[in-house]
Amino acid sequence: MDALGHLAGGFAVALQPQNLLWALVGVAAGTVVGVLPGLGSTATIALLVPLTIGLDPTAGLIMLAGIYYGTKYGGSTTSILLNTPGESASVITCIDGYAMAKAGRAGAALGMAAIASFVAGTVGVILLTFTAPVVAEWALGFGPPEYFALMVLGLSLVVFLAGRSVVKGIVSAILGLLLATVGTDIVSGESRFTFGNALLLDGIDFVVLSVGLFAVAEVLVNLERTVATRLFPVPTRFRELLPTWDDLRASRFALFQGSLVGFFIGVLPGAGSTVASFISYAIEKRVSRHPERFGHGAVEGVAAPEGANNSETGGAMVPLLTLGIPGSGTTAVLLGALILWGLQPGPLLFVEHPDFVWAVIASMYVGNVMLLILNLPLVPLFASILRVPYAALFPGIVLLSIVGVYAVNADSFDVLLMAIFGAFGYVLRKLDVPAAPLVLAFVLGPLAERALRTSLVMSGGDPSIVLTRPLSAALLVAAVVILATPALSRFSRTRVQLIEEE
Amino acid sequence: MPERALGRTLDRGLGVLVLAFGIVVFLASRGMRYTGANGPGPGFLPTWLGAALVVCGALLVLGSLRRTPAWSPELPDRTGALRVAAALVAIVASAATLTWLGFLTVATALTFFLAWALARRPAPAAAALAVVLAGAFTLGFGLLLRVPLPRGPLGF
Repeated sequence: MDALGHLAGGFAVALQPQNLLWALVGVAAGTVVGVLPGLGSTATIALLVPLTIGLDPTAGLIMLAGIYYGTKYGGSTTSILLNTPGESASVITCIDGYAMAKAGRAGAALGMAAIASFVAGTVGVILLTFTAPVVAEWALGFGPPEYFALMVLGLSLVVFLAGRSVVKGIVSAILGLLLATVGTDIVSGESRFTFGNALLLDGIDFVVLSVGLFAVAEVLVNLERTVATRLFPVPTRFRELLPTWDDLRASRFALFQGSLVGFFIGVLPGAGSTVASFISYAIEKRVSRHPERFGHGAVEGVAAPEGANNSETGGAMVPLLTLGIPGSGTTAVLLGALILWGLQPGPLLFVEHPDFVWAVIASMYVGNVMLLILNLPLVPLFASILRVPYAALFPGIVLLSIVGVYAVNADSFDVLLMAIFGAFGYVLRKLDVPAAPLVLAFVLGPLAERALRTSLVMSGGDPSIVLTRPLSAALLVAAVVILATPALSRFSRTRVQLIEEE
Repeated sequence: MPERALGRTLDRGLGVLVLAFGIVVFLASRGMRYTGANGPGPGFLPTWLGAALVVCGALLVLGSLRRTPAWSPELPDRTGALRVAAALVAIVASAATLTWLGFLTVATALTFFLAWALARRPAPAAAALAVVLAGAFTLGFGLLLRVPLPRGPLGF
């Protein structure tokens, strides 16, 4: 069956009332999270994963994916009204979005951000629909050695997730691999790093680690200080939220290039939506006949980055669903959720669980329509969330963390571990050590170890099996090339410059 | 101390810590079998990870000696650090007493403490928030979503 046939089947599942409801819950929660500065999509998804364990995996991923792309919509609201990005992906929207708000055009900026997000988000999902099956089919011939090489390739992506220092990124990844070894060894049955504690024999739960590292650590960082905010008045009439025809005409190319740039940056591991929005903004400014207007309220300066950061989510789902490789902290958490539900992301997902995959893809079309509706007439409602004091918000996040973590095994030891990982995540942030490589390695490490051991059983213990098979060798060479890229000073300069701009 | 110089000191401290931890991991993994029936045993990966940590720790120390790091630490002031520490202690205390006292009691006490002591809300407002949040979580997750929240001696 072709992609369109599968997609039609996916819509049949995605349009079931309960799945529509979960999509709505996801995109609404995503918008709220996007609006709120100081609470990111990674932390929110990590928080909600344990509460979705009891759900049907399709409904669960529809909701979590809704949060993922919903945050991109909400982030622009805060950038435009507060000059503070709700999400790092909306940093660049502050420049022209806030300038438009100061000039009395907050409504047009919010409207253009919503329209650009919808158009590019939908284009991103269309491209996902047609590229994912091709990649998955190519990867179907993978055996254990190729899987091992693929996981090594995935692990090599720490270079892109490393932040300013590649060494710190590698340290973070090694710590993730070490934490993944805690518990009973799957092959020999021996225990590793359990320190005689029976509660650690089953290993560290992914939910406990991710909620601690992302959600609790984020609360602790925000607790350090309180910042007063001043909010621009939000237009309440629908007509005031619509951009003019001139705005739309001026943003035609921005919508087009933002959609493409966002998708392709999304497919590339590690680059992320922030990079996509910066590149798209830079292209728009470069090709504009009036570059001097940028920074002073150019509507294209809102359309291009907002389009790119929404299209990026479609791109990021390609390696996640087809190869099981997450390219960012958020997709690493989504990968962990899939594994918790007993699904193995990768090419076989398209063969063994086509209903699931295509329902999630179809739900992204539906979710984008929901988000357009939520973010145009209801934007004043979402903006009012910014008036909720953090004092009321953070105890709720802490309680949600405790409930979520406790729900996994009904064990208060997990809550204690979560607090420890929260403190650990806080220290990592203060030392400029990124947490994303740790989670990436924690998820991919055991998969790589298992694939290597299965490969060695296949070859009777001969490790050359991973080098003599052409595809496996090619993937390992690619991993080595990626790991070597920091040595290229130009690449390293560009990477650090992008992080500094973030 | 200038921020970049502080970054250099922190990087050096981190490097020493990573190096020392790498040695501990390396030594601890010597107690596990390095090879198994078909290749690597349970000690194979930890051994190499320990060694890699030692190398990374050394690189961090050397890097901090050779050049000023490209980051400026954002460390909390005394009050900020105390707030973070108090929040952590409160969460740990909640974890320790969760099974004995039950979720509702612990959640109420924790929320009150966070809102009153850390967010500086007036006591009545903090108490109201605590009752509302703890009640909503117990109802929403405990009763509606059937999350098996622990019950205290009084049955809630």
